Amino acid sequence: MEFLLRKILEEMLFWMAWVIIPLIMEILPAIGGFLILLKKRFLHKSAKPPIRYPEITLIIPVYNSAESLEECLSSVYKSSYPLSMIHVMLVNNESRDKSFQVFCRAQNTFPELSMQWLNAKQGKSKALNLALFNSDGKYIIHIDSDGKLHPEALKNMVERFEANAHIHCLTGVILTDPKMIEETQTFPMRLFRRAEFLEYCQAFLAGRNYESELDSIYTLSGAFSAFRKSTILKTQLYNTDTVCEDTQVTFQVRRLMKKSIYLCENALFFVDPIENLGKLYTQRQRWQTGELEVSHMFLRDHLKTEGFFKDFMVRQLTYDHTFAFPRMIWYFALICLMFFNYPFELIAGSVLILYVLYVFSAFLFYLNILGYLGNFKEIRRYYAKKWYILPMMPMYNLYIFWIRFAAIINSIRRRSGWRVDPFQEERKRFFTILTGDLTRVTRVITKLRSLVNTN
Amino acid sequence: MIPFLLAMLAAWIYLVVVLRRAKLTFFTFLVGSVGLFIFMMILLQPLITAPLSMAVAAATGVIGKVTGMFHAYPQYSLVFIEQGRESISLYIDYECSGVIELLAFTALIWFFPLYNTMEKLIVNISGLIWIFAANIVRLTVISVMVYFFGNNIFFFAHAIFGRIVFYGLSILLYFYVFTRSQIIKQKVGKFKYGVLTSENT
Repeated sequence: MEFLLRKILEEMLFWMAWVIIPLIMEILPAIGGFLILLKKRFLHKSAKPPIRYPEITLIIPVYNSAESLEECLSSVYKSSYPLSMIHVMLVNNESRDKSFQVFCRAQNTFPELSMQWLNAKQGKSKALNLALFNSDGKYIIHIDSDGKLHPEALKNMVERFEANAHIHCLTGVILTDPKMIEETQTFPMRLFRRAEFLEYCQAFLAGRNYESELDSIYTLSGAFSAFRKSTILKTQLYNTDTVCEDTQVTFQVRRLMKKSIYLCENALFFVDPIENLGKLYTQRQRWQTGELEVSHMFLRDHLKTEGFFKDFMVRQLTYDHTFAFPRMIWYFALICLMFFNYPFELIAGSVLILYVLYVFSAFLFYLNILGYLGNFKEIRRYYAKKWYILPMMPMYNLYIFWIRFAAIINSIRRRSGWRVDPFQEERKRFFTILTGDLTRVTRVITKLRSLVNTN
Repeated sequence: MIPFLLAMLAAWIYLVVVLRRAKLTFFTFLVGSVGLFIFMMILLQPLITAPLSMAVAAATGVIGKVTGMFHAYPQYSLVFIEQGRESISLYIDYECSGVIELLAFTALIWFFPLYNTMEKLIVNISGLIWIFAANIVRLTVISVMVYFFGNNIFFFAHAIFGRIVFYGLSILLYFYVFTRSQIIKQKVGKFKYGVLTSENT
């Protein structure tokens, strides 16, 4: 028995040497997160409903939202929050479609809903700022026009505010719409969208959920977030320069106002699943670039060694940016090692162990998330049935890693008024040059051939 | 083998040039740095590993001599730790020499689009010195641990603790060279999505 134990210990130590860095940097924090969420779940007391629900202002920026606006407003209308206490502000930022007609129609369809149409200059930030100046509710809630609120979302969010005077800023949980996912025509895309759904669940119900407990939420979600009016109006409002105005305002609340940001884990908002891989490519690059821009605005003077231990924002940046470089080169170095007399079993074995550990940490969060979806039976059932996606998540995450890494590098060379090129356009540029070169070479060969043949 | 290698080298250079002409910043960086790393591993690594191992042993030996805890034999790339009746020799092979990390850093820096050529040269040299020093620290830590706790600690000290120390110091370098520099120079400005032209839709 002792021999066996020693053998197991030796074996563990041997393999640990190979996986120690990812184990410390990724797996152990995940296990820590699991325990924090477990503790939160057991100690959580649900907020008591207030005697009277206060008036809230719901800001919905509109930009070419004709297709989704009605459904969005319908979700507000179906909300369990007293309709007389909701004032909706639709802020149009130079839409060129029939959004206004949809608004007019909605006034007839939802007569009990108080709605106001405002025209702002182009840009989401400008639209949000205009609405903020004109708002008068106790709480200001932002939602995107291309999503849908869960009927209980507004109520749960306001109850959280009312029961916790120290909470000034909340972010909701964003999930992709399961109905739309299941309506996807092709199987590979359906599978991909299911993985995306799991990613959102993990990002909000696990990731931000435990970050909320540690007071370390890096960004609130622009698609669904809420503030006490008294707090948001004391900030410098939404910044119009950056691509990530939501992250920028998060930094303002945290750095300038010294207030915390929390997650309201029972306020759900549904957005459309990603249209195609090309859209994912541009969307994720935009998110990553936003993080870099906001870091430039707020962290550039705080990027010191001790920041990693003292400031979670520096830590987050190190995880997202610094670690990406050795990670990238080591993927290829591992392949290289196979050609340098490293036993294949050793490399394959360590990769396999790492993969299993990643799946294991995803499984831990899966258990957490099932617990947090307890009040949303239908969503919970849908999520629970997707357990078979878990083993694919490390591959999905790897794919996302490459896109975000592309954003890190691409953002260096960008100029003012920059843009994220769709992958198709990048591919086209590459092949145009390649075929151009090939044509040139063919032409030279043909000329030479004709020259030789004539002589 | 050599003609094949030369053909691959030419193909890689051409690919990098095409990617650069197409203004594909990320793919230029990816193909460029990975390719440079692989070619340096094939062509440069066999040449520099032995002298590097000797240099690492010699530099570690200086610390050993000062503390009196271990001796180095640079000509054999060996560090010899003796304590009471126990002794252990640490052979510095190519994994231990830090050659992979040195080449990886070099490959990354030369295709990282933030710096100009002169800056790259300076950052590269400073980085190489840092990684070399980090490796000395790692070997010293291993040797000191073995000196105090005996041979049984060797595997843990070498494969786990030493690795963490080395990784921590490397990350510090990467943080200053890649992250901090980029964040300070990061441009903030108006953003828009690229629009597909009618030809490629």
